Amino acid sequence: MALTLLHTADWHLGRRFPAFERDQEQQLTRARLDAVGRILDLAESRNVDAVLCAGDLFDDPSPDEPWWGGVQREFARRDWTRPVILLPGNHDPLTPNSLYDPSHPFRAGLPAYVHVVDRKGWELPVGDGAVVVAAPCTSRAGQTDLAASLPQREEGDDRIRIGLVHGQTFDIEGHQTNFPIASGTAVDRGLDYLAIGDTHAFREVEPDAAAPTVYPGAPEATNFGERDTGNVALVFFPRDRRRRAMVRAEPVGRWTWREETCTSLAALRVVLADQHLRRTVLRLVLDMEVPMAEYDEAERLLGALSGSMAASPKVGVLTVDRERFRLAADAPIEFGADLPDAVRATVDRLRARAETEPEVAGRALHHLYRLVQDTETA
Amino acid sequence: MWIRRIEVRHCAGIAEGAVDLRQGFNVLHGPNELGKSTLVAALRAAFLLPAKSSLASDLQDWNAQEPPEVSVTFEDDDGRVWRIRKTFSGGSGKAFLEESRDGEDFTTDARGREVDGRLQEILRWGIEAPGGRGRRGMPSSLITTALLPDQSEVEAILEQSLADDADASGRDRLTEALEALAEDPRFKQIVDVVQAKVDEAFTPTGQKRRGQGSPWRGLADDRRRAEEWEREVQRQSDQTAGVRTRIEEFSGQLAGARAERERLLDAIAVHEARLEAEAALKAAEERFTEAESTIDRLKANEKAVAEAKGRVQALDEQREELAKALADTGSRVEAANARMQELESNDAEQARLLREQQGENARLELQQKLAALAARLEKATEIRELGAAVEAGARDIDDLEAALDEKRGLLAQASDANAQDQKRLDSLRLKRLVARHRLAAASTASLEQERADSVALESQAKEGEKQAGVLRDEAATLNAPDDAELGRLRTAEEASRIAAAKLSVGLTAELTVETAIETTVDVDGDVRTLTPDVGTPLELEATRELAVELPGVAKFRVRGGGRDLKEEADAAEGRWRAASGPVFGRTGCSSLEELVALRQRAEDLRSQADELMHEAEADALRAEGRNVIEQRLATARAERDRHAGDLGEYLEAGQTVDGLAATFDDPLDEAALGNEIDSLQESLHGRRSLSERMTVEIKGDERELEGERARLKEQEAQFAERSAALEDWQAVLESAEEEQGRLERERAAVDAELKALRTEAADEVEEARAILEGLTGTQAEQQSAHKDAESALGDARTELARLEGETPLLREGAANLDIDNLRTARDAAREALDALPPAEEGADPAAQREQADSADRSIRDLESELRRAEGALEQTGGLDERREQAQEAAQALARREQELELDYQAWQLLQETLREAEQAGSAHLGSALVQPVSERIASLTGGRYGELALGPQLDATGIELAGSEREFGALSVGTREQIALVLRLAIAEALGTFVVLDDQLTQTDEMRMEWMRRLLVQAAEGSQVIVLTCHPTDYEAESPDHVVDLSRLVSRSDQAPGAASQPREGT
Repeated sequence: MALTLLHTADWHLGRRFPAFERDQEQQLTRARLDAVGRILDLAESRNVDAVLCAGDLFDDPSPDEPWWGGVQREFARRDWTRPVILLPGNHDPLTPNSLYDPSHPFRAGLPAYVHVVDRKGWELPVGDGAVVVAAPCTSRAGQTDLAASLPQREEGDDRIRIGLVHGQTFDIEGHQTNFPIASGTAVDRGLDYLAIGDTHAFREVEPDAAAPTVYPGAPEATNFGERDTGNVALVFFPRDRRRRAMVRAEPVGRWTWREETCTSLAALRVVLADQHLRRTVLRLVLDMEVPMAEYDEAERLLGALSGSMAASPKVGVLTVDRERFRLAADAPIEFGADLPDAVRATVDRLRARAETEPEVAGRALHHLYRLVQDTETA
Repeated sequence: MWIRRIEVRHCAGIAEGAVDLRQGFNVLHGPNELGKSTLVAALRAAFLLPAKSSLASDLQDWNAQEPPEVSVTFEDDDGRVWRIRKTFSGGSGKAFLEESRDGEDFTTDARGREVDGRLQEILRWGIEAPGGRGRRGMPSSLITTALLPDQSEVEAILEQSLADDADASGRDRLTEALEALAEDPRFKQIVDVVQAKVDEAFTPTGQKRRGQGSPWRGLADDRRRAEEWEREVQRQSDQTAGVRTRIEEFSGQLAGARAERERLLDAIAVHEARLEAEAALKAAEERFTEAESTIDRLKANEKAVAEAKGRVQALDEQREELAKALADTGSRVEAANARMQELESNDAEQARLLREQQGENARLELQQKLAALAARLEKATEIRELGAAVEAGARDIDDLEAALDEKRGLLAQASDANAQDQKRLDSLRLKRLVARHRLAAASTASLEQERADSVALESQAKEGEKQAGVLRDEAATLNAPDDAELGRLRTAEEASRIAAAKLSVGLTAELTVETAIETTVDVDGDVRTLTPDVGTPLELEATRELAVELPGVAKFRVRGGGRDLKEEADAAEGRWRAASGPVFGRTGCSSLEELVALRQRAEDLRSQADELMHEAEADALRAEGRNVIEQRLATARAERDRHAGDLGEYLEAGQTVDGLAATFDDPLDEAALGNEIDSLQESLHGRRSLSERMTVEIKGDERELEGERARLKEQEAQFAERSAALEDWQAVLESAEEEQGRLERERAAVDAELKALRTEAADEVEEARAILEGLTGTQAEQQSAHKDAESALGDARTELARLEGETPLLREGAANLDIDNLRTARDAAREALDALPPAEEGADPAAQREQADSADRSIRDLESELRRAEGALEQTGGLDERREQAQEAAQALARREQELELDYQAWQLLQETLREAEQAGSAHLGSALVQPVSERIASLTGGRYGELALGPQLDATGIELAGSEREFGALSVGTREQIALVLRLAIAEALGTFVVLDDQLTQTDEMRMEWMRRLLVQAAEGSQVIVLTCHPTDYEAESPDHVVDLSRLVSRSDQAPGAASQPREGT
């Protein structure tokens, strides 16, 4: 091979997940930083010639110190000469106050092998006879085709030319395309490979084109419904420049995002029997009305999944939608013998109340059921 | 709760006093009249009376001017120390409630009117907060009666009930306290857990906790942050949308401005090209025209020269002819002058002038006659018009009089009709009065019947209650077991049965006798005697027990099961007998079934009693309306009597209302009469209004008639006066026209004569003068024409000379011109102009230039704005994604919050429901106190008295004596006093609070007194007992926790100044 590259993008470090509880949010944000370490490890193990980071590495142009500090430490741990190229994207554009500004401690503290694309017409020779040409985003939004601004291959230049930009290669109805990238740009600009970032799924945009244009996707998913995330692209350039570069998706992500709807206790048991939930963000929708015994079992199963002071959770991040999870309050409830009269009367009252307020009264009945069981056990 | 200190000043004989108390048993002693009861009254006032209450006047010290002051310091169950300070001085009374954590430093919690409301919140004694309706006298409740009774109300607790409390707080507090006494431990465990869960999330007042550790706190903060984020993103999004809109607007404006600038520049260019072409055309045209003009001027010059020569010749000839004519006219003028002189010398002119003077005189005379005739005619005309006015006035007066008579007639008719209607109206009103009287009488009778029914219902209700009481008594005498007892018996019976059943293992035996013998066989209790066949095995089968007796030989008994089962069965049997024996003995039953039937019978009796009570209550409820019936009856009677009084004046002697009614033909329908009266009144009213209006009109007409008459009289007088002055006015009127015509004809004749005279004299002279004047004029004209001809001739000769001078120059200029070339150049310039686009109509190039400059500036401004807006937009990208994130976060947090809310609502509901169920189960508060109180009374009385009858509202109704309930009234004063005290102490112990005993147990013998003192010590372990007594030695043996000599701490106000010792602590 003449050249091997690792192409990554869309780390979105510092991205918040406020929909989750704080400890869950912390796990998910930390997972992004962990992925950076794995990416660099992979680059080392595959002995790539350069690492291309195609924008949106941070979720904000001025993230808090833990995020850029974490990346800095990952770089500092490595005594590399292979270049790592950081490209500002639309989430972390190159602006006077961004962390890519030379006065920012992040930029100032980067080792020499890490380069920041900080102007149009930026170029860096890599490997043996290759050059990276790049253009950064300087704003959060723009209509400039940054790929089109890359310099054209000059007459007699037979180097491997790799373009590096951040933008969108598609138009979505009703969606404002940000930093559009016209189709065919890679070939038009005389590039052998166009490394781009923005979309979170791994995608080769024009598989039939002479030069590949590739989104590596986010190394960790950021939401439910995202597909083909958790990868980086490894790119191999043959010595024969007439041959097309080869691209392979290499998994680096650890977390899976899943949504499941359970309409019965059996279905819930099946979902929860999965042993690989520790690195899963699971959104569980309970859509069932069950008698007390099953209701209680479902609650206990969910309790086990979420973990407690005494037991670690079985699911990495769990959210439960109980809106349609109801107790069949009219079904018989076995509370056991020797129930104090007042408790028995309370049960009767709550069951009557459940006719008009099924949700609250059902939960109250379950609380009581559990307390009766617990006190009986005690 | 316990009282730490009482301080009083200027209170009903006490100048000053301060007493510190302790928890446990306190004995406050002092001699009579020292003020012990005043201290209790002050304590009561501090807790119960508002500072401005007039009831506090009882505390006023007659020996002092200052208002009474009371201060009470107490500690509540949570260890907080409170101090009440009140100064009772009517409208200016003051109150403070202060709180302290350490009992030293106090901060004000409430003041003024708020104090009593706040106190009742803290104490929860069942006292309504001030301001409630119907509050009269010293506020009291069951708890205040138990803890702080007046000295004279020792037994009041036996007549009090929670149902009498003005506020539910006392009942709630007692319910909580008594529930706690009898709470199931497992239930309590559950309640505690539930309470802890509720306390996690809610404050005691039901508000959500917001502090550290609150489950809401973090979530609510997160949600607020997410919502703020969402708002911020939305705001940015709105701004971005605004920027995008501005960009679109700017782009549109820019395109417009650019197009406008282009248009203007095009227009200016066209305008300038046209100006240039027009100038070229103009120059070409000018050159061509100049050439044409030069040629034309030459031709005209040559023509003018020829014409000028002809004109000079003609003018010369004309001048010669005019000179000849002038000479001829001079001769004729001289002849005419001679004729004029001849005519002006004639004498006939004088005679003509004389005749003319005579004619003028005759004309003047005729003119005067015509003027006199006109004056007479005017006067005669005036007299004729005056006569006509007098006749018209007389006719008007006749018409007015006729109209007036007609109106008077109508008015009289209306008065008659009114009188008839009024009579009818009076009659109808009388009938209506009779009708109303009859209605009131009927209503009175109906209400009297209702009252009688109500009395009967009340009596029926009392009878029902009595029967219900009998049934209940009967049910009570059955002594039927209650559910618990029956349950226990069932359990014991079942256990016994099961234990016995365990012995039923099945037994089989074979008996073979070798000699004939009568054998007694007992199979499971079935005893039979038989003689088995010798040598033949007899198979015996039993379920649990088999016995065989061979008389004189052997007895053999086999039981199923092991020894332990037998023992268990025996024990179960024993328990069953032990449990059932007393019940069977008490009820006379012999089996569980009989007990069930007995209980059913008791239940039936109680049910019947309840039904009777229910009916009685319903009857009583219906009878309760009697007050209303009475009021309505009184009203109906008053109504009837009032109508009867009104009718009195219409009744003849001895005639009744009914007699009067019988005289009416029509039925007395009050409503119909009312309608008819209303209709008649309306008609009467209308007609009266009409009459009044007509009367006013008649008076107006009469005034008008008088005026007309006066005016007629005046006109008649004028007519008479003027007729007398010109008696022949009618003749004048008749001959005036004829006379006037004659005089005018005479004047015309004179005028004609004068004219003829004047014409005749002038004709000859005028003719001669005219001829002379004509000739003189002709001579002047001829002279002028001759002069003009000479002048014209000179001018023509000068013009000719000028023209002849120009001719050579013109010929020279024309010779150098190429007219065809000039024409071609002009046509080319015109074509070039026509080829240009037309100029805008009415356009002003200078203005267009200014507009183009302005458009240029606008374009620069808009480009700048556009760059700025696009720059702003570039900094706000990715908003859609962030908005989605923010919305998702806000929704997720809202869901989590709702989830948490539901969960804690469920805990809250569970807590409330547990409490309700518990309260419903223990609604009978009396049952919780019956046992401890009854046991103490039994102990006090050596078992003479049984169970105290305490109702659900702690209403004591009696006590069991010799198997039946006795009312308290049937007991001795001392016993009542002791029972009341035991009950009060039980309540104080249940509440864990203080109880004040002011010189009580005065009717108690020494033996019971001793028992009571021990009881006080026992009660003081869980409450604060405060005894005020003048016999401290009575309590010495019990070693009270705190003994206070009040005489050392209280100073009387009626002692001489300085005699009262200063209050000081003495224990």
